[in-house]
Amino acid sequence: MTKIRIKVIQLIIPLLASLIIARLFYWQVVRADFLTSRASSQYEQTVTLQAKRGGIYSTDGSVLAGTDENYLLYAYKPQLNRSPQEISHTVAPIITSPPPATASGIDLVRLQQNSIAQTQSFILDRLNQDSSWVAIKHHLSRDQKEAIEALNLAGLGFDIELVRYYPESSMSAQMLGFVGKDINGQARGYFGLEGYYDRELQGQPGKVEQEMDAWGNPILVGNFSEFDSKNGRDLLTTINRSVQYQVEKLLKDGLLRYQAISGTVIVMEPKSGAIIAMASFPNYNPAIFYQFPAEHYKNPAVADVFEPGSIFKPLVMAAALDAGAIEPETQCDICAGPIHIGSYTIGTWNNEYHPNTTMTETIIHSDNTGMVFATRRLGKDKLHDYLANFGLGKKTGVDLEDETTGELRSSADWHEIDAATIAFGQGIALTPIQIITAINTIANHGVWVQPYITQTISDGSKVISIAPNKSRRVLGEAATDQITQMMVAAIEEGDAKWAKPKDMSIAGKTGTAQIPVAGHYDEEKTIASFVGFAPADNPKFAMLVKLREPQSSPWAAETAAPLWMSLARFLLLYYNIPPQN
Amino acid sequence: MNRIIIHHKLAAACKLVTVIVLFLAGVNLVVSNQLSTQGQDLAATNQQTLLLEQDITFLRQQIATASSLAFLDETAQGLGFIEITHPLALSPAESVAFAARE
Repeated sequence: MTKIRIKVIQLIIPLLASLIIARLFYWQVVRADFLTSRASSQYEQTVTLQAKRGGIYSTDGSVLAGTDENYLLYAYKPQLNRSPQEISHTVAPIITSPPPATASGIDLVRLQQNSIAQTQSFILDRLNQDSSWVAIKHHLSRDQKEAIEALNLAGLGFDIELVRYYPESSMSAQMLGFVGKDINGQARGYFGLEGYYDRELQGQPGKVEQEMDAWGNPILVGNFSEFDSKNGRDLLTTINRSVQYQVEKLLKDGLLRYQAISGTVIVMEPKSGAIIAMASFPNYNPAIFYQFPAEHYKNPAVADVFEPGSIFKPLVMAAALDAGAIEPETQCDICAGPIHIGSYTIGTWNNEYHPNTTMTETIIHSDNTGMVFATRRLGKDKLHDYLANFGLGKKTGVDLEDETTGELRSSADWHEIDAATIAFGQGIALTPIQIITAINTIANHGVWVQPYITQTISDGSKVISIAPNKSRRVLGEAATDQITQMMVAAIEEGDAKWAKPKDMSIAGKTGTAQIPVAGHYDEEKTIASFVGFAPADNPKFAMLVKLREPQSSPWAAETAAPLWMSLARFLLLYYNIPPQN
Repeated sequence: MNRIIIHHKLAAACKLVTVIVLFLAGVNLVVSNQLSTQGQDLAATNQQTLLLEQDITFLRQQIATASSLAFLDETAQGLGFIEITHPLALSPAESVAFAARE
């Protein structure tokens, strides 16, 4: 009997030991990862440190785009101490968005009640879901958060959500761009400065891992590791907030007055190439960009190409003067009538011809035949070289994401008619930033400078200057002075003289370009533009105004020119520039 | 004789090590005891820091909104201010001495 017992024990003990070993193997090897993560979730806490996106500031340090905190309201159901009905009833009136401002009286009350009822039903749905943690409402304001906290409802909590805010709402929208989500749901800048400097602005999130006690407080002698977050860097731009505001205001008024479908204005500082203001309409509000058509997102000032028309003439004339092909008093001997090239006929805009007209008069009268004469004297290869030197056919390098190159074909591909039409700005496609940068070369005494918007990047402790400082001489001083005098004469004696402010010395040129549509030019639709700088002898600004399809008059002298002059009047006053006489 | 001296030295060293270990254990006990109760203070401080940072962000946003040109323009119009449309430029007067000489 004893022997049997001993044998049984001899069998049972190894068997039990084997079972224990097998069970330990299961927990410690097979289920090790699962148990480790369960355990660490109980005594370790990982907090993600969000990186704040850098701000974008105007030249006076005012915020153009900043980062604000909104709140996500969530419910942790195991801790709720009120019924879902009670919670939805008390929280819904606080988080319901107000009805549209257009509603009033009984409509307003009814709309408000309907909205609150919908929110109540939404909260109930969320609270009745299986999950123990449910998100209730995104993007609550600080006031809404504090109102809910005052209710003392256990189980409701808030997470911080970083959002972009724009104190000037839609001002500079296309230049700033906006912040959306990428395919991973992370914030990303699109278009304009937000897109161009996205990596600088977005920063780097960090995290803290530490052991917690049963109450959720950190154990100071426990494990601890920290990876600091790095906030995004701030951009200080060259945008003058006051000028930008006024430019947008006057452009908006101009679009209404001249019934144009869109418009663009660029104001540039001649010596440095700094962009002082850049505005386009129609635009959008970057805070709610998703409510606007996607075609409004691109910045027309750098992304739209157009045939410049007569505002291109000063560039061609400056090239011919600089090359010594003509003088201001050189007389045109082919300007007595239309010029025939193959099957094409080149005439003047008003069918008036001036035999033996001088080059200065060519600019004053915006005479296409005189421009053909100057181009023939210059030669197409030299003309192409000058235009390439003015920066046409390639990006200016302005720090905006959506810049395009325009089009400047090789001179080998130019036929005689091409060189002739380019002389007065047809058959060539430019962006507004290219034309203002090229004209600015004249304002800057013949030196081309790269346009830019961001002057410094800073991370709070270090400020890095990133102004490009790229320049090259394109025209000699003598040719620059001559073309400036011609542009002054164009304003004093040309078709836009009525719009010029008294006693102001302005160099400029109007341009009324027909719009190419399916291989021909539309007879009705025009792009009216005006480009120039002031004061002519020592320019404080160079500016382009471009209006698409103005309805009140197709002519730039009656639309773009007066708008340019009203902007110039403001700028001269703003910069305290006294009248010349 | 030498073995006795070595034996005494070893005994003294052991006593010293024991005293040091006991002292450090005591320090560890006291420090751990103190730190274990300060986690709550740290959590409260972190929470306070977070709230102050939220306040700073909120106030910055409020300042930016209140000083925006759109807001100022609207307020100025509400107060009855109007834009200058015809500014008057005053030229400096000719000096009396210069005028008299001519």
